[in-house]
Amino acid sequence: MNQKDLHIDELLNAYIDGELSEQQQAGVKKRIAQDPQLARRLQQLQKCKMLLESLPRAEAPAGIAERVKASLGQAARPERNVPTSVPSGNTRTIMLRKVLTAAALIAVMAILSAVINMLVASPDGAETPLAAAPHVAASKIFTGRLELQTSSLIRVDAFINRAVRENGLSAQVTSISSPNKRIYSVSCSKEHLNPLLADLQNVWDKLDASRLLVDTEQFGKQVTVAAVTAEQVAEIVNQPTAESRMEVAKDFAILNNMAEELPGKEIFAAMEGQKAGLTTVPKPFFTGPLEKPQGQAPAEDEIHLSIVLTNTK
Amino acid sequence: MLIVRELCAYLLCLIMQETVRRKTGSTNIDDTALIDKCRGGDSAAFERLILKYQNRIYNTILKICVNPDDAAELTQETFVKIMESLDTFEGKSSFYTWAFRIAVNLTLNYCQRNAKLTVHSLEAQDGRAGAEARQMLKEFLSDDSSPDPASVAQNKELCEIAIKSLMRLDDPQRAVVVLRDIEGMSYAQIAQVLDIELGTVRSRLSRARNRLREIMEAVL
Repeated sequence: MNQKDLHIDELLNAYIDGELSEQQQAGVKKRIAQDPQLARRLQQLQKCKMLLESLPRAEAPAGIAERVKASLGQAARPERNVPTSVPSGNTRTIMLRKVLTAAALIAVMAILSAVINMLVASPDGAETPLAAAPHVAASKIFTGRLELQTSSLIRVDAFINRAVRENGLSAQVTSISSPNKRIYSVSCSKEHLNPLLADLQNVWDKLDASRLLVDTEQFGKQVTVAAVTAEQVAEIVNQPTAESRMEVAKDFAILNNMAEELPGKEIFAAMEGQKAGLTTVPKPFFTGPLEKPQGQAPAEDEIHLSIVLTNTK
Repeated sequence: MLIVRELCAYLLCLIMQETVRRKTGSTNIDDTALIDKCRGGDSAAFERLILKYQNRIYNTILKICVNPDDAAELTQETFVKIMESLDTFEGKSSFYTWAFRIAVNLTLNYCQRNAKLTVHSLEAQDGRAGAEARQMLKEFLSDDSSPDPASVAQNKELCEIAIKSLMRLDDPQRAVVVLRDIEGMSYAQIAQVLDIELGTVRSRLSRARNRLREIMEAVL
């Protein structure tokens, strides 16, 4: 098709779409009357258009408005860096919460000891027992995989992409898409990862499951933290050495497993912010920059984290 | 008798108004009031805005991205983004074209990310058009008379071929055809939604329809 034909086609299309001036319309009409080939071409275009116009109109599924409102409600939650505050209430409620938390802590400590004993004693323990922990060199590099499952793949994917962009991590993150999966490979420093994790915290409630696999230096051996939270990921990653990272990861693995098993998960919810470090005390900051040991060069790409997002629909 | 005539005239007037509204998308008076209320935090107004546009936006997204689940999520995402960006809406264009711009941008970005997947799934569907459907298409295209649009709409096989052909267009071409022939936008509105020149709308639409025709002929 040459340039002239293309121009004629554009005119014919604009003619059937009613997008020509009266003068242009009259000109096209005249040419069609004189040229049967042109008239045939016009008819073809009209049929093509008619076929598309006749396609059935789909109606939006019910409940869009409710879901949008729910999303907006969640988006309006406290921004990152804002500590989770105690809900406003009277002194008695706060006191009651403190007493409950203390009681729960004692109970958890008791159960924790029993579970640790059980794990150490069991030859087929799901997690690597603390006593049999693989030797880990004092490497500063973290490698691991964060597996997230969601029924809102597009929304979570869009959120992660936006978070990556807004935190200036586009160059440090490569992503692969497949129908029901997104894989983001993050290679950056701890300082860069912290704000990203803080952002991801806002989308955590869209997840059906989350799991962190922390690589050890023993091939094929990983520490798995089920039901991991964004704060826990940050806490593990921010540990100064690979050894302490392993320890914290194992603590979280045990705690999270117990939280799943224990009746009354709300007690754990009330303990938010305190469950970390029951066996490993330090509570690293979540969003702030990590204080580097004196005399060391700034860390570059010390984090290699693959985030695998899977659709559960 | 007089009452019946007046009633008919009134109904005709209503139908014409609705036709004009659908063609132009000019719902500005209602929209302006609703937008003001939304900005003031009136959630009922926002719900009305969603209910007003959700079917048209969903239908447009679905015809571009094909997958109903993805279309539902993208529609939801569109309205979330609309609400989040409502303060930046200056009213230079109509709310209708502004909202569709958000919807189409989100959808095209999504399509771009899943380009390989789309081509793959289409290849798997090739050759599924049955002999009967091909015969219907042949008759439809070669028939010199102008077929009745209603009978075309009822012909499921023809509609299926049309949708599959539409899927074979590249994303920008599919968007322009969907906005014109399915959503019924004017060239000026399409230019606003896609942020392109009027001349580009004209040439892209022409090329898209030519390509569509070629694809359909290849089915025969």
